[in-house]
Amino acid sequence: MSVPIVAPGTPLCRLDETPDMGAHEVLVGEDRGQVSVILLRQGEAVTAFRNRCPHFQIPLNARPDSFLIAGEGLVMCGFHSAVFRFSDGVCVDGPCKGARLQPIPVRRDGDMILAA
Amino acid sequence: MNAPTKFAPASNETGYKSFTLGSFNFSRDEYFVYIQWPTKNGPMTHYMSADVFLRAMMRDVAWGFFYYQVNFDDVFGTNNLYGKVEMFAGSFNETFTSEGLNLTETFDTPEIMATFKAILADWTNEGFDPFAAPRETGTAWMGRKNGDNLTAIGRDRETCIRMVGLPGDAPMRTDERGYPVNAAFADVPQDAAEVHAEPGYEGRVHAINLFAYLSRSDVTWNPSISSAVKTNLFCPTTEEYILPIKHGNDRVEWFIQFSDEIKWEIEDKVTGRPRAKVVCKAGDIASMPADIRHQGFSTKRSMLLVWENANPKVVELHNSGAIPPYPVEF
Repeated sequence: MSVPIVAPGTPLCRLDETPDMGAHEVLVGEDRGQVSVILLRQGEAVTAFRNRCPHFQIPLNARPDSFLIAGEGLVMCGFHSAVFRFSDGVCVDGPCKGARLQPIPVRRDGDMILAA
Repeated sequence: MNAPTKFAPASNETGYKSFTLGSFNFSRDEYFVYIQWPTKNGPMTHYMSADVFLRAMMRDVAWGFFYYQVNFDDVFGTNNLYGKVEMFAGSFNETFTSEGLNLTETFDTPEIMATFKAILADWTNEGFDPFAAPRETGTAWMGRKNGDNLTAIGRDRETCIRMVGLPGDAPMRTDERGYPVNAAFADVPQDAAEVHAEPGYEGRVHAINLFAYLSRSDVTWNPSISSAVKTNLFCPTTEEYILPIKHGNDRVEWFIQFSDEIKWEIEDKVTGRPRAKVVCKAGDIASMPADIRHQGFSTKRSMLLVWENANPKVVELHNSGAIPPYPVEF
């Protein structure tokens, strides 16, 4: 049985901290165990993934909490231009097409987004 | 913000479209690509052979602008700023900069990527594969527009998550998957690696015949990723003819020559002044410093392991001077 990337119930952020049609980075944990999470929002729909591009195993953002939105519902890795869908984290264009970001299930509790 | 990409209708004479991005204009004819930009003396036009241009642009697109600098030749190229991309003409050429004839413009990555893909798609004729060695793809790049080769230019860099051949990871190359042994490597044994794990380690040890894997490479000068430990990447590749770009890195890059021979031309990254010539024979290891640009020449198809450090933090460490541009102080 695989260990969840983020423990269920872990608070990630408020809904309004992730811009509509945009992305937001949340760091969970500390030191070597710290995990960078990218939250992607379209209206009320929020998805979350481990912030690690399957192309080179590095974060999608070159600067903290700064992501490239490459069109409606698409985020582009800032390093080598892989493009991922908000909805399922699948790479639809770029150097690792067909690969997928590691999903982190989330749920809403009022205004809060928590790991599910 | 720069002006958006524009393209002109196909030329009645050659059939190729022309493109504009920012202040740069791109056009091609039967043999050449023309890159034009404004200078204090009026428009400057730079010429490149169309096959050279397409091979370079293929790498820039497939590699997502790569690590920092991709020089198409001594004049034109791009810098990856990781979120934005600089396109330049003459800005890393001492002659152009001393005369004030260079131009650099910055674009959002999605915008320049879309433009480059459009150029590549329109200017690559049927039968021409910019990833292939000249003997394999011939002269289909020449002449008036003749169809396209979207399948060839749509190939991506092969990457693994952990290691090629692991369950759920990038598969090995086989005949069935469309990867026959390249004619240059017909003598490479194809036997698979044997793994005999100690009790308790079954399923936790993995090995492949890397030479067999490489012998089935269908591209040149296009490293795949065969194994990854965090951001430590082993990127083996097969090389023939000329590396289509001069790569100006923003970190140290290691080359381990597996077979045959590659000659490297090393230049200063900023000025283009010659710095060294390096001949790597099978078994040689070379480290390319972070302050140079390099271009390789391989007469016979050869096997090269490129060892890359993908950690984005090393860029700032080099830029700030916290670490030197070379790995060893002699």
